[in-house]
Amino acid sequence: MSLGGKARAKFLCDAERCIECNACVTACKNEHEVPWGINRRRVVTINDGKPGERSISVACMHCSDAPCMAVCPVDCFYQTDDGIVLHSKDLCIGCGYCFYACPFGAPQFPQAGNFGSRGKMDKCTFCAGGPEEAHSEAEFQKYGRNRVAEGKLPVCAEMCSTKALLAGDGDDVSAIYRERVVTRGFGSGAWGWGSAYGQQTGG
Amino acid sequence: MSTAHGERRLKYPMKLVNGEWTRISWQDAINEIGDQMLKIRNESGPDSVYWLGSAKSNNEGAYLFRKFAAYWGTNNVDHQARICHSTTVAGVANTWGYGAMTNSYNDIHNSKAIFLIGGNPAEAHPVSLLHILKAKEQNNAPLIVCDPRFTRTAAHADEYVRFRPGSDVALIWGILWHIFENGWEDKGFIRTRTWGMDQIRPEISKWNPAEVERVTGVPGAQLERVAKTLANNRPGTVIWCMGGTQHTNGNNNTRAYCILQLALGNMGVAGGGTNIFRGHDNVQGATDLGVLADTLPGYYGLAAGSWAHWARVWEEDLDWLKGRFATMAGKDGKQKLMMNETGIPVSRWIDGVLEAKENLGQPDNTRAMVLWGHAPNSQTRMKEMKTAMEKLDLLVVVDPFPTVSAVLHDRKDGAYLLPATTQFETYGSVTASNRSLQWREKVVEPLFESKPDHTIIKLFADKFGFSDRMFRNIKVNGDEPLIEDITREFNRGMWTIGYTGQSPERMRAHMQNQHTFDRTTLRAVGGPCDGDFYGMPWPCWGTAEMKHPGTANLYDMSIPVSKGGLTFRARFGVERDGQSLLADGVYSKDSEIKDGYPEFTMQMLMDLGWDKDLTADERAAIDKVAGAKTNWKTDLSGGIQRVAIKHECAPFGNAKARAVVWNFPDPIPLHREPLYTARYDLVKDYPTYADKTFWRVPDHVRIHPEDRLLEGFPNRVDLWSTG
Amino acid sequence: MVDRFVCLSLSFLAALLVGFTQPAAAFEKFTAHGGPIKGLATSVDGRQLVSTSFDYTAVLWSLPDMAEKVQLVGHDAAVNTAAFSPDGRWLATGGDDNQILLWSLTDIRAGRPPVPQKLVGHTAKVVHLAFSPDSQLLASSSWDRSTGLWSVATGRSVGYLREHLSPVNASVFADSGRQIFTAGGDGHIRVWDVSRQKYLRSVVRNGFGINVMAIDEALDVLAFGSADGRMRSESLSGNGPAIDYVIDGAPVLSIAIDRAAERIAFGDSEGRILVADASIGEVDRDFRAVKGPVFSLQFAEQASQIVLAGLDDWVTRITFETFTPPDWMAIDGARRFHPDAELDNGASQFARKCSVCHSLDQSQKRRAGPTLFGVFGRKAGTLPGYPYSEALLTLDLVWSEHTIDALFRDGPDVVTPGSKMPVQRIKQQKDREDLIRFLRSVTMARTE
Repeated sequence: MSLGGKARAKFLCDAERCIECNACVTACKNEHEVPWGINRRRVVTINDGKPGERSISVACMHCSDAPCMAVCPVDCFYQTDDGIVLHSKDLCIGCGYCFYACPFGAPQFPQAGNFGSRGKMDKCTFCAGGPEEAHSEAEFQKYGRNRVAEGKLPVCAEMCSTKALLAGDGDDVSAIYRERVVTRGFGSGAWGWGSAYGQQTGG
Repeated sequence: MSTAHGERRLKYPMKLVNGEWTRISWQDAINEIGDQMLKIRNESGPDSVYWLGSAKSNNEGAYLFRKFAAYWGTNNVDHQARICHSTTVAGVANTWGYGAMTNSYNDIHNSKAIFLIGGNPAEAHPVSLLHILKAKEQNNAPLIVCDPRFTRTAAHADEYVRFRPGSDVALIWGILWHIFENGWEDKGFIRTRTWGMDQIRPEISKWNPAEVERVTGVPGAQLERVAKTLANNRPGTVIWCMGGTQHTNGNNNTRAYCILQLALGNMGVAGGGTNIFRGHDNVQGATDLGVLADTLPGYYGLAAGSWAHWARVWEEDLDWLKGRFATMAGKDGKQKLMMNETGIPVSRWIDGVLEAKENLGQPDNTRAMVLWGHAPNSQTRMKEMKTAMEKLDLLVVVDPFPTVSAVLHDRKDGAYLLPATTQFETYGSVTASNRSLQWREKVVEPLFESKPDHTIIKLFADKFGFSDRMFRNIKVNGDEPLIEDITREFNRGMWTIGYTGQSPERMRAHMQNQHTFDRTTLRAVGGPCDGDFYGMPWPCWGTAEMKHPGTANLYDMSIPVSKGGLTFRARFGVERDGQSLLADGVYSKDSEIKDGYPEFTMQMLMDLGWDKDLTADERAAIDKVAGAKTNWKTDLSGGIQRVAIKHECAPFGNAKARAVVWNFPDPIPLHREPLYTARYDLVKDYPTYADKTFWRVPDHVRIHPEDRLLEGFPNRVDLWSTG
Repeated sequence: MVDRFVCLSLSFLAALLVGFTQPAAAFEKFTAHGGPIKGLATSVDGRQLVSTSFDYTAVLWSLPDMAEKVQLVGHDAAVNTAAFSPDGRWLATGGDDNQILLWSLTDIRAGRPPVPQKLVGHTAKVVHLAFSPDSQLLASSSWDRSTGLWSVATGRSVGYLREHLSPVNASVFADSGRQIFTAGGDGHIRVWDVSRQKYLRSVVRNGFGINVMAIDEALDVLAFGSADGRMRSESLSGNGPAIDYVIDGAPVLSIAIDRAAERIAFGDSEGRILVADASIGEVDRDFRAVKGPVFSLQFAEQASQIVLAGLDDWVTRITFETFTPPDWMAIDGARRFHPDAELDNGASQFARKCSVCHSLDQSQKRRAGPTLFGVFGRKAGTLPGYPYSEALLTLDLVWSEHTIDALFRDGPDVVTPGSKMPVQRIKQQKDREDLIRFLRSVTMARTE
């Protein structure tokens, strides 16, 4: 369950490249067989229909200092050695505090669960499963496929039409992005990096 | 993979019995459908059965489907491309020879400017944006998006041009007005490689900025900036999609785009070209292989010579084939063979059912409709379609899914659903937008009781009694014709567009060595496919043994024909109005003919003294066809092509692209108000076409300016839409 | 308008003058709950405040003395939000149990035991409530992606407004109750015709989710706070300015407007509070008040005070005249369920997974769950004073090492089906053993 030990898993969405095709969203739903009504990833369009319109693919960014972890009253989050923020659906009580703390709107809650179970939070796992045994049926049911354990990267980035969405070790990802920024001659900033990782990249 | 294992798959053959879908066996289905079709054929002739094919079949399925329709005896066969890019194919092919994307998605990496009109590829062709945005990043290429809507694509544009729907020609002329006004056109290119530009210029001169703004809504200053951007950033590419083609004057639109590129000298060059984005995974292949009402595979058309060619390929008795078709008295009273008459297009099959028989250009109404891999919700006039579906004697849907065709109508019986496989359950070749062929392997065995298209075709051919003829050169395992044999058969006939060199073996080798191909040039560097372009984009001349690499960018004279270079095609004769139509002193690299030349025939080889390069077998094959009159398209040996290319000449000649298409309703592309115009004040100045009967059905496309005065206008337009 | 302007100026002047006098308490804490406080609401007359908590209860307070008046018990899960009706007759509360409870303030004032009417129909948590100006309709915003409309007179559902593609986080009436604005996680603020229940249009497309929204027609303000950290105010009429107070902060979780004082306040997930002039957008104050989220805030006493709540058990009141922003770094962010200290595994299991709902002694009764004091050997559902669910009252189960282990091994949905306890499992046997050992040591050692 590792990206190779020394990696720091990060997502980067290059807003200059994202075209809101939703391939990432579809790939994610398909890969993890996410229930109806839940999108672990979505594409947000800002300034829709106006000059300056930009789309950004958004899911859990696996923040360095994850605000969800800080507010959870039942300690259901944990961070892997690769910096992937995962959670235990066994511990989650569905209070929703993580949703309020998350600047990316990442935590999702199932529709129409009976209130006794109150709906366990669901979110992007960086395709790294959860606390269950890797590749077990329980892991797949609760968290989806564990691609990281197979040595693969998140499917959303792999399926990205324009390679706007990058996933992998933070150094690799920011190197690719920096190269683009240098070629373009400008950098509009890798969206969300400041708030997720406490740092900027590129121009 | 939900396409393959999705819950909505049609599992078994189904039949509508008293309003209930009921499971039946394949055998009963084929027998019952076949009996009813034979009855209709007997009573009304073969044209009363309509075979609507698919852009989702592989090339082998598409080819076999067209051949099957021919053996059934009708040209009432068509597919989705009719309502996508048929105006492109006609417009572009009539300008410079071939009606397809000239370059490739990958080649956009080389573009210095990108002019995108009538397309929203960010949503319709997402992966293409990878290449467009790469050019934007790496070349600082300005992206100009012209669209009535500020689309997701426009959001990434450097220049967004909002213009009134249907005013494309006026917009393009408005840009060219500035180009010519400022002398920004490529004069050398126009002189040596285009014909008729001098006739276009007076039309363009009418489109001054004030008139352009009146018609399109775009201010002159913006179009001057666009013109300047295109002039200063060459080569630039022009991209279009449905926004340009789906108009009553879509042909004019596509030709105007071509003329823009010709004026800028952007044709036949990496980074330039007209990059026409196709839609379905094999819509290019289905078009090339002639699932069309107006042509046999390879755009051979429907003329007597075309049939003779394919009959030779099929080793079929041409008279027997003729006997399969109906005849009908023409306007001149003479009997005409329906074999040579264009069929009803997919967009009008409804009228084949609903129109009064006496108004049709065929013996009887459409009575049986086969929707084979085509969900009709892509079409307008749903209300009339429902009525037509209900009026039919027989409705047959062949599809992996019970499409809208299964539920739209309120039939109680006389409807069948036959489960076809998806592409994952069979294998074969498909052709991408850029003319590259790829080989798909089977991923899973056919699910449920579904069968691949070519097997279902075989079952119907059995029922109709012509299997032995149709598959005489194709091995059949059980009920399944061998895919590779089908590929080889069309390889033997598709000389026009060079679908001849892409053997199954070469295609498989390309798939297995994908990593050896350059992602911009598409050319393999090293490895077993060294020098080939990925997927051998057509034309891949001659036989597979000739190992032509394919042609990545059409009409690029900077490389030899043997390495994928090309000239403009000499398709329209050698002379017009006393002027030569051949290229003027320019030729592709290493060409032994240092000027324009016509398309190659045996006679021409003999005149050049190159016939001595033919092998004895080639010479025998040529003699068998038509001797000296045999040409590069009909020579089944490929010898003429081989010898022409040996001398680095293009088999199809070296001509000028034509800006004026004298055989079209508008030889010079004109702006015409769109049928659904909101600007009746412009209809007088820019009238629509006159009504006519076209492709067997009446076509009401004329708007009368005075119609708006009639009570209830635009009822007339509605009338058109209700056939 | 002129009058108000004068008043405002005077109050500013007063604030400046009083600033030199010595304050009473500037930063006061009022504890009545046994869990995080998600919602606060003030009555129209400004004399009452209600707080709603994770502890399954709401508490009614009087203002300005912040005296606890009554604890409202009735929800089967955390209570998220509350609203007073403009006519002063009703208090509505909404919770994680998907329910809305309608409490008669007339009964409460008369000292009658509060028995709420239950408004049932939502299929996910209710997170915001608002009454129509005539107090006839109640609008409930739910994570089931709808806004519920309820007749206050009958307590019956009038309909659901469905257009948002994500949770609805706020719904507010406007135009004398003829229109309603709804704000959602899909980034839209949408407008509806109330009588026809017809969706009209989207008036804000923020892209990122909108968490909170406030409208004041007299001030011509439509204000919202979003997940991407935007604190923004737009002109309802379209004639006034649009003001971005903050564009890239932490998620905005709370909002309040004081019409008379023309003040707007926002609170975010990192304890930041921003107070500004709602008309001209000038920021009065911008500071960090707590470590953790400001789930809710309300103006009090003509906007001279703010009350706020978050993860802590208490309501905090800030009086601006006497207030200087605290040294945020020095604020103690530790809570019983977020302990600073290193604990042994058993203690840690309890602190991080149980303590938000359960206490270990008898003094702290107001938790979502019953105290675990003396739990070993106790029959389930028998602790006096705790409002057990019917399921637990009838369950034949005695708590022991064995049954507590089963509870967390198999889950409350298996061991105590139908109880109010959220489904929670501790998968590691070692963790369960350590937890049980810890519980034994702290709940039995002090057995009476």
